Amino acid sequence: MNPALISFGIQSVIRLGRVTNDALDQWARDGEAILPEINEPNFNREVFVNGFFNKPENNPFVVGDAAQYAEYWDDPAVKPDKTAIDALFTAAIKIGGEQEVDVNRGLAPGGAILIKQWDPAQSPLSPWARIILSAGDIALEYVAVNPSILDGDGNGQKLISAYAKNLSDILPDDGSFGVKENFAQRLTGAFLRAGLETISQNHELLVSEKHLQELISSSVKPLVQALPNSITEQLKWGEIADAIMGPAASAALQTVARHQTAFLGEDFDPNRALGAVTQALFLEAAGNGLRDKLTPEGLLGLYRAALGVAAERPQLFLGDGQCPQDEFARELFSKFADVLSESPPPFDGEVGIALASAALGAVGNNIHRFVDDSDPWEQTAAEMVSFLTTKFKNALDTNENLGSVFSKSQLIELGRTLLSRVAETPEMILGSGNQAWEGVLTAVATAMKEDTNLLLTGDDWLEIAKVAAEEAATNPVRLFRLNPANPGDVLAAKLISVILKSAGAIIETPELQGKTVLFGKTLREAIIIVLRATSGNSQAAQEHLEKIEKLTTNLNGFVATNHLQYGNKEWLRLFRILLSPLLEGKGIPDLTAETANELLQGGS
Amino acid sequence: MKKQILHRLATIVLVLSLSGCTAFRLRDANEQLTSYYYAKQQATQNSDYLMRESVKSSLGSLATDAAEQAEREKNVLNQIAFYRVASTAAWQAGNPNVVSHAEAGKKLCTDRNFNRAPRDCGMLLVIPFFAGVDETTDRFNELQAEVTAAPADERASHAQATEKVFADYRAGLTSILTQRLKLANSAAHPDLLEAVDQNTGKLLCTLIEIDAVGLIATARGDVARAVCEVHKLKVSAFDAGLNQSSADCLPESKDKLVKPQGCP
Repeated sequence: MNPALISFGIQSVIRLGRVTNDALDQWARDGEAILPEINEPNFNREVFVNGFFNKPENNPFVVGDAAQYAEYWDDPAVKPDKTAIDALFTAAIKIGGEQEVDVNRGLAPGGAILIKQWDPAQSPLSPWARIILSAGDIALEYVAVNPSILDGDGNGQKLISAYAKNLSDILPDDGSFGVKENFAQRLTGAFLRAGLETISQNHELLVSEKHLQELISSSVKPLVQALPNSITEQLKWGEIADAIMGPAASAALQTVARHQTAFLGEDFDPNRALGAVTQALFLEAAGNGLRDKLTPEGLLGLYRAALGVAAERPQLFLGDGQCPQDEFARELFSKFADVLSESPPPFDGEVGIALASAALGAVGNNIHRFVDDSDPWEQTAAEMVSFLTTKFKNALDTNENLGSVFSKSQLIELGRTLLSRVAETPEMILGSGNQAWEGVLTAVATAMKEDTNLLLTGDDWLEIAKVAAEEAATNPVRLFRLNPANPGDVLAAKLISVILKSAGAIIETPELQGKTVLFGKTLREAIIIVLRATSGNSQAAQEHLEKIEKLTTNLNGFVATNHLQYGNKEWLRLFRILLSPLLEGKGIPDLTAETANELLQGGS
Repeated sequence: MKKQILHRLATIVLVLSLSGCTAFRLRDANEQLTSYYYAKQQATQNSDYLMRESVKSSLGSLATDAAEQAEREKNVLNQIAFYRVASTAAWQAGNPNVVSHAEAGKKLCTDRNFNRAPRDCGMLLVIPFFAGVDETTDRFNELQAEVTAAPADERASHAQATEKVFADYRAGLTSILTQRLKLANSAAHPDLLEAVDQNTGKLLCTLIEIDAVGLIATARGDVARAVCEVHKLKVSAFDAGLNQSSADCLPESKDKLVKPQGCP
């Protein structure tokens, strides 16, 4: 059917809303209705035999002089013993054929027939009219919210034209729609609904009709063609279409809205890439089902992140001849699905999905840095998530108190911070055997284990992780180098630990308890000062580790004892002033009010 | 500007009233009915009786909701459609309200309305009878278990009960055959007649001729009489238009039907 006619029909339905109300009602009434089969009684061999041989045409086998099986019969029933019943049952199968003897009936459910209202020859609505009404029905919902959505040559018009073009390509002109055509309607309907929703929320959206056509076509057509023949599989695909295609189509169009510059011009790659990712989402859900740990929401979260990458870097999803586009995108979902399925709590569920999305987004944004063919970028991104969750899970297990320090959003933010930084500096994970990346994670996770007094909050750890990642990116092989003999032995971890140790020690000193300033924000700043000061000079840090601890302890004691004169600002200034000479090999001066004031004045 | 705002308000009111219209709710009711039915079938197949009962409970609720919605509807064709959903759901829930829901729907199926909703009205005509057949089958299963478990010399005490099951099946079949002509002449989709005929054929050829007669014989009841009744039913089936394609116990044509010996 001419797409222009479909489009015109839909517009007419919308314009004639009141008039078509009756038609919409009729459309709903005329849809398929189920008429179940009646149940069959449970099968009983004796009763069956009695029924079978009392049929007039079968009775001569058991009654009369020439009756072949008379010995088993005691008119009007089989002799009530097992031998006679079995003999006549075998005879019945021989006479009537197995089709007449369904021993499983009663257990097997009957079928049902889906029946339309009208004889096609007398139907008041053609199949095409029903499709048009269906589309008009969807569109009317959005016209209610945004009456101007279909005015002029706006996006609403373009979307309906694109929808009509796709349907006219897929559906046969004679209106004889089969299973695949019905599935196509279901999928394109999801796109139309999602499109109108997106357009009503993004008035500034600029899209061309051709681009919309390409997006819908590249997402829907391959799925329609791949629809399995098995009824069970078709039911499953239908369920998945209902569960995820609406939100997926909405996410795809929102991606178009967010990356408008990528979708302008004549290059259709972004649309084809989005189509490839959409297909992959569906096929992953249909292939592996919606797993326990990967709910539709989880899959859609991954999908949104993958769309962002596809919009910016469509070529990544369009295959290279060796790996067709749909297979590549599906591999991506599959790898992340595996990682998420195996993620331990609290990194499963919402947190895991957010981290996976962050990894995909972070790597996608820096894809030019991931060009190593032997280490595919999607594999790297999945491994980053797996590695991060394992490390932090270990830290949380070792220091049970930490569980209360981090909220879900802080855990996500912590992961996102580290993942973003590492993606900007892939040298941390590529070519160096993951050493720098592992070093950062080890440092932060090990230090977190040490904070048994919970002197730092989740936000504090976030800031420390940011700085650690930055410094590791700048000087990857110094402060965060792993000791092959002892993988937990990372200098940055030791530095953070000595500061934490000193801070913890003063809390256990009764007379100074309550007077210390080294906790929370001040402690966080102290750790950051140490990390920044030592990242370029790890040798000095290694040599003077004990002195750093002593300096921290002395300063703690001094400020706590003189808490009326000195506070956290003074603590941090004195620490900064004294740390540099210490790293140069100079001693720690005795701290008195006089020396402290001199240092503070000199430093100002 | 004021005109534009009024125009927008009018459109919003109009479309909101449309979005709350029957089209959506009826579609939901239909989809729920189909989903519950298949869930019940699956539970039966998997012998998951807990799930089966749970689905039957949902079907019962759907029947109540659909009947209430039918009462609220202003459009008579929508009312009929909701009663069709209500009676089908009640049937599958094993709920006796199937009769009252179907009756309420049938009252609305005047000649004029029958032509405007032929499938829905057609289904309302036969659903209570099919529900009655299923109810009889439940009784049949219980009775069959009792009769076959009883010693041979005690089975005759069940003869009357087995003849009652036969009589109930026969009454159901007679009623369905009476409605068949109306269905055949309606503008309903041909699938309706085919589905009704399949059920009718199964009732005649399996439930009545094999199972019910077999149970009477097992209980040493009046088999000869039952066999003659079956013959009469086959004659009625031919007269109503049923044929061998739906009822494989029927001969190719009515003239090939042979009256059993001893039948009046």
